Amino acid sequence: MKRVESKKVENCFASTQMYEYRLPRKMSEEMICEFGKNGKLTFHRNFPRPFFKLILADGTTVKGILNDTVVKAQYPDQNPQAGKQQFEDLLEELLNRQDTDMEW
Amino acid sequence: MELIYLNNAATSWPKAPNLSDTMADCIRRVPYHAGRSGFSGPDVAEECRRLLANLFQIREPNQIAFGPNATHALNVALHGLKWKPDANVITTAAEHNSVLRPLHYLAKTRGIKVHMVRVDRAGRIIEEEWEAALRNYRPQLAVFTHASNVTGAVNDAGLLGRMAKQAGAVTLLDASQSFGLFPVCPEQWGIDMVAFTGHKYLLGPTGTGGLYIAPAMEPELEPVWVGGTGIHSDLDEMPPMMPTRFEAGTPNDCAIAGLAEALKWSTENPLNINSLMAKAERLSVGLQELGADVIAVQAPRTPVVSFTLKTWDVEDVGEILQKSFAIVCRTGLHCAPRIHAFLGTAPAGTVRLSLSRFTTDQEIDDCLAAIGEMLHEAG
Repeated sequence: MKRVESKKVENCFASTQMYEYRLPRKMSEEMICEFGKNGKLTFHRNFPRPFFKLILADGTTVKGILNDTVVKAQYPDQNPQAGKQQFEDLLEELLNRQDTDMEW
Repeated sequence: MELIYLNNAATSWPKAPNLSDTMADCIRRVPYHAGRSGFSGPDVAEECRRLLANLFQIREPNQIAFGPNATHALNVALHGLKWKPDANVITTAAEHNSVLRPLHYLAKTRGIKVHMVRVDRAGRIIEEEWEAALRNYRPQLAVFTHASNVTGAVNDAGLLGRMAKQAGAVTLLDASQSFGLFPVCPEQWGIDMVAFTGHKYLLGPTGTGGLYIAPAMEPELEPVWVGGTGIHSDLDEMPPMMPTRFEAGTPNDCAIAGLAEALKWSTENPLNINSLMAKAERLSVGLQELGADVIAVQAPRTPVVSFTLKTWDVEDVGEILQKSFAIVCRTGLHCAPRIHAFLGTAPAGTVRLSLSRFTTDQEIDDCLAAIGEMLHEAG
């Protein structure tokens, strides 16, 4: 069973493929950095609520806030379904790894 | 972190004090049937219409037909107009989709020809181009916004309206962004119809709005929505009198009561427009000093400041302001897709900060500090 709840969100552009994901736990700094290994991460730690943005190799952009349970992913116009599947797999894998680490 | 709300051009917040109590009282009270109850019960719609008529400086409150919002009102006007074959319409690049989409639909389904008048780099209608369009197309209808929801530029509605009337056009004004801030005087300006909303600068609840229809326009306008009116039920058609002719169905009494309360409060507590505009100006100048590309707008203008940053995507600015700094704003096209080509902000649009009479100096300072921090962070 998937532990991540997702919801499509819209903006001004009809072609946008954007989803919000509610995670079972807050995004810790460790999780963000782990995530960052999969692409280009910018992490603005100095903001009152630190903000991160990660661009994956296929162009998928992931944004969120430290210690928030929601992350937003925007998929590339070209083949968004593949990008979505890839990101969701990555997210599950990361969460599973975090669970294993916590068990240890 | 205290929330700073700078999205008043979308909907105002906070609303007028006592509005929620008034609306709650209304839903608790025994409902009376407007138009049938005589003096036996309160007629919130009548009171609200009277207050709106004062604001519009019109003689007859019944020339105002209620609806759920300005979009509804614009549709009532645009779809209800008795279109001539091959009618021309002039409108402007500053319009909201509440005007553009009904016009597009009517072009597809009724064959009307829509001509778009350009705006300047502040988003203001260029009067010479308006005049030329009137001369060239002799439109049946001229529809335009009083103020741009993207830049805040206020148009000279009296002048543009008079020019259109002289050219023989029916005039329809979208006052969504100006009503409650600046005078909107359809009788004085010779404007035939004005669409308005209650939830922006009137500080009323969402679900309120309406259409002013000049007496001379009544024969030119067919009701779009027809149905029960609670009176004259023996007629097959909508009753001919205003405002019933354009108000089929049960009205939203609680929201109308809320709007009336907001109007009363605003009458007792008049807006200090100079103070509000000084804050908007301070925000605009502050952003420019930080290096933001601010859309420069000369007065008259609404308290809207639109800008972009060279080092941040428009959407990221909105996201970070909201999530990292608890500052609510709006980003993107603002439902006015055509204007951005003239502002130089296509295709991504702008970040829009919109103030209200409740915005404090401290909130302006905090907002500038947040954007300064973002710019510093981006190097």
